[in-house]
Amino acid sequence: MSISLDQLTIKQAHQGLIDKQFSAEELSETYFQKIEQRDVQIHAFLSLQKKEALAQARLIDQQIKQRKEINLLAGIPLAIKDNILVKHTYTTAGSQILKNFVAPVDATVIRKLKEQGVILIGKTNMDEFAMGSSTENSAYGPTHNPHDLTRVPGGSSGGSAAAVAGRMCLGALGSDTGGSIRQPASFCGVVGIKPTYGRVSRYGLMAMASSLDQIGVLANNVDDAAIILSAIAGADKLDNTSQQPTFAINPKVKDITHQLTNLTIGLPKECFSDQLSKPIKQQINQVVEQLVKQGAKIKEVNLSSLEYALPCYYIIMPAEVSANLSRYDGIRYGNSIMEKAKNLSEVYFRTRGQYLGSEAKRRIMLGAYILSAGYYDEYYRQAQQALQSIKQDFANIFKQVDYLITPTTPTTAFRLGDKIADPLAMYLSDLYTVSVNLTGLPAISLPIGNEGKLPIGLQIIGRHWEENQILQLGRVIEKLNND
Amino acid sequence: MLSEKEINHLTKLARIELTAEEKRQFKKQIPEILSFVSKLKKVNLIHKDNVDKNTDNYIKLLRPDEVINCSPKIIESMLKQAPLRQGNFIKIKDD
Repeated sequence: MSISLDQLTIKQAHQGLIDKQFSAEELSETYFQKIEQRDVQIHAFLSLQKKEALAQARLIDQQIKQRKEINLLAGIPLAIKDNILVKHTYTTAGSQILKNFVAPVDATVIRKLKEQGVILIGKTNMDEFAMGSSTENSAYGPTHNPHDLTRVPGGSSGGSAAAVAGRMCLGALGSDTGGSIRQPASFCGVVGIKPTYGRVSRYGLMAMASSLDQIGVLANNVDDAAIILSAIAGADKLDNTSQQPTFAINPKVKDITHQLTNLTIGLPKECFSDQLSKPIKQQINQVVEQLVKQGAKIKEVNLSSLEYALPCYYIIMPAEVSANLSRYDGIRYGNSIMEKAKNLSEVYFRTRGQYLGSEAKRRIMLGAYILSAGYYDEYYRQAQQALQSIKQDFANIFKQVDYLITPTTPTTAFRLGDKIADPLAMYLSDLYTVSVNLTGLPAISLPIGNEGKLPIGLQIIGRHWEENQILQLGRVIEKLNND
Repeated sequence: MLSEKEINHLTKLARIELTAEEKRQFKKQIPEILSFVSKLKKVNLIHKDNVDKNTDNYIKLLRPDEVINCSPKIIESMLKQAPLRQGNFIKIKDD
C-alpha cells in the first residue's frame, strides 16, 4: 500500500475510510502494531483497550459498508490521559493509590468522543495526579521522549505528547493546570492547545486545582487539534464552570495568511530575557520576522506580572491540591490499608503515606501549610491579590494587541533524572505557561524547529474564547514553517 | 529548615505518614519553596481590597446542595470500590 497509515492527518484518515482505501479496523491495527514496536522504549501508555477498540472499529466499518454517513472523527484512534475517566477501564492518574481503580462512568469529553465514533485505544502515562513537568512522578515509571530516549517528554501529559509524537495515535487528550499540555507538546514537537477555562467540561477529570484545570488536545497539526477540540467543547450541566460561549470552535481552521496586515502581535519583553535559551530565542525571532514579511504588526509589550506568576501559582495550586486530594483517604475507593489498620486515623495516615508519591505529598503539605491558621493571609490572600494584578496586566495588554507570542518553555527537553531531586528547578519549566491558567486564557504551543534532535515550541496566547483566532495564527505559522 | 515539631504538625494537617527519609527531605524543601513564593510580598500590587469578590464568583457557580438521583447500577459500581461496606453504606473503622 502506498499510503503510510501512521502519517495521516485526521481528514486524510477520514477520506481514506469513506473511500474504502483501508478499513477502520486496519487503521486501528496499524496503531496497535506501532505501539507494540515503539512503546517498549517510550512507555507512553499505561493501559491499552485493544479488544474494545477493534470492536468499535468494526462497528464503524459496518456503517461505512452500509453507506451511512460517518462523522469526521469516526474510526479515528485517539489516546486519553489517565486522569480522565473512561467507563469500565483502569484509571490510575499515574498513582499507586488508584492502581486498581475502575472508572464507573465516562467523563463528559469521553461521552462526546464516543458519540462521534472515536476509537479509544488506550490510557497514557502522566505525573501522579498531573503534578510534574517530566512524567518522572508517575508511579508506573517515566515516559521517554520519542526524539531522544534519554530525555523527558515533559509533563504532566507526557504520555499523551509522546504517543502523538511517536505516531502511536492520531491525537490525544491531556489536561493543563500550569502548562501540562503545552510544555510536553513543546518538548515532543507536537501541537498542544489549552482552551479558555470553561470551554471544556471537567466532569470526569480527576481534580488537581479546580480553578485552573482544563482538558485540551495534543495533535500532529493545527487542523487536527481544531477538529478534536471542537468535538469536546461546550457547556455541560455536570460542570457548573463550563460555558457555552458565543463563538463555537470551528473544526475547519480558516486560512488568514492574507489578512495578517489587520493583526497586531505582542511580544512580552520579559519572556525573552536571559532565562530563555539562545536557540529558542533565535527561532522565535525567525518566525516573527516571517510574520512581519507577511504584513503582521509586531509590538513589544511589558508583562510585568511574569515575575510573580510562578510564585502566585505555587500558592493557589497547592492550596487547591491539598483540598482536592483529601478524597484519596482509603475509605471510599482506591488502594487502602483498611484491613491492617487499628483505627480510622491509621487508615488515613498509612494509606496516604504508603500509596501517594513524593510530589503529591509535598504539594499536599505545602497547601496545608499555606492554608493553616496564621499563614492564610500571608500566603493565600496575598496570592489572590496577585492574581487580580496578573489578570489586569493581561487585560491591558489585550487592549493593545490581538495575540501574544512567547516561548512555551525556557529550554528544550532536559535529561531524565536531571531535575527530579530539585522540585524548584522542575517548577521553573512552567515559567511561560502558568499565567495562562491563572487568567483562564486560551493558548497553543506549536513546534517551530529543533535544537539538534530536540523540538522547540512557540506559544500563542489569545483573548478569552478566541481559540479560533489562535488556531488560525497557529496554522499560518505552521504553513510558513513547512514551506 | 522546618523543625521536627513543625513537620509533625504538617503531617498531621495533611493526614500523611512520612518515612524518615521523606521527613528529612521535606524539612529542607518546603521552606525553599515557601521562600520562592514569598517573592510575592515584595510586589506592589493593585486591587488590594477586591479579592473576596473572586471567591464570591466561585460560590455563585455552585449548584444547590441536594440529592440527585443516580441509577442503582452506578451506585453499586461505586460501592464495589470501597474497601469495607455494609449494605448500601461505606463502612469505616472506629477511631
